[in-house]
Amino acid sequence: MKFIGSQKSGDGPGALVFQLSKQEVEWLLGVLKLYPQLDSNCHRITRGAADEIQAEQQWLEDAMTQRRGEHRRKLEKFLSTPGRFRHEAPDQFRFALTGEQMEWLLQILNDVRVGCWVKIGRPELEPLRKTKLTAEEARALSALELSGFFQMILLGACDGPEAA
Amino acid sequence: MSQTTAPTAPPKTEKMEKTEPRELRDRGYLVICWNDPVNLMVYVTHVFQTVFGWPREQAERHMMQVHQAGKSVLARETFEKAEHYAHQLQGYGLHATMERDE
Repeated sequence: MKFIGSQKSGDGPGALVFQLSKQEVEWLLGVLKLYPQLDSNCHRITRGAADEIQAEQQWLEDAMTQRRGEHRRKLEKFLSTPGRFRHEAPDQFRFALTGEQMEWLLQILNDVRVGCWVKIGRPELEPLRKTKLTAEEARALSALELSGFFQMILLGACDGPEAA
Repeated sequence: MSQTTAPTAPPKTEKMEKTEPRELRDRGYLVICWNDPVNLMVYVTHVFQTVFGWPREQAERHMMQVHQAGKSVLARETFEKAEHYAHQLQGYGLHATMERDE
């Protein structure tokens, strides 16, 4: 997958356009299908003991649950749009993202990345890559790495075509 | 935050603490981002830029502080604003909390 430029737009910044292979489309859809991975009770509002902050814990969890619901609806709408991945040539697809879509897609990909990491016990990643993994760990690590791969390309597009 | 210097510094008293401008006294909550091995450095920089509206250099400075020192204080704010930032950062999947500035 690579960033190929911005679409022309009458007003405001144009959408960012990406090109990807059939395999990458399948990987991206596979990763997005895993969303959400993080449980709302993973979030902690504070590490301290201040009562007035502790009291806000439930509100944070509720806010994260609500946010995930909104993202899920946006994602379903996004993926169900006909022609979302436009077939251009053999093994070549294109799709475009507005700035707003880019932000929630980054959050979704990061949720999968962090959620997979939490599910395999929050390990240090470098040693994990060199050890023999269980099937569950291997699946989680693959999803984690793929999420990071797509995040890097989306973030590269924020810097313009030269950086991508 | 700059402070004025008196010729002879009197002992710190409760009265002096109460003379701190209300705006500063209310901004008694820190927004802290903690290190983890999973969030990508470029992603953390992007989140700081987006949530706080910082230029890239400032966002990278804080990201590096998180990475190297284990945490970075991103803001000192009122309770409501600190909570708002903590929610935003957690929504992006960062390990960020709010703490009372003791």
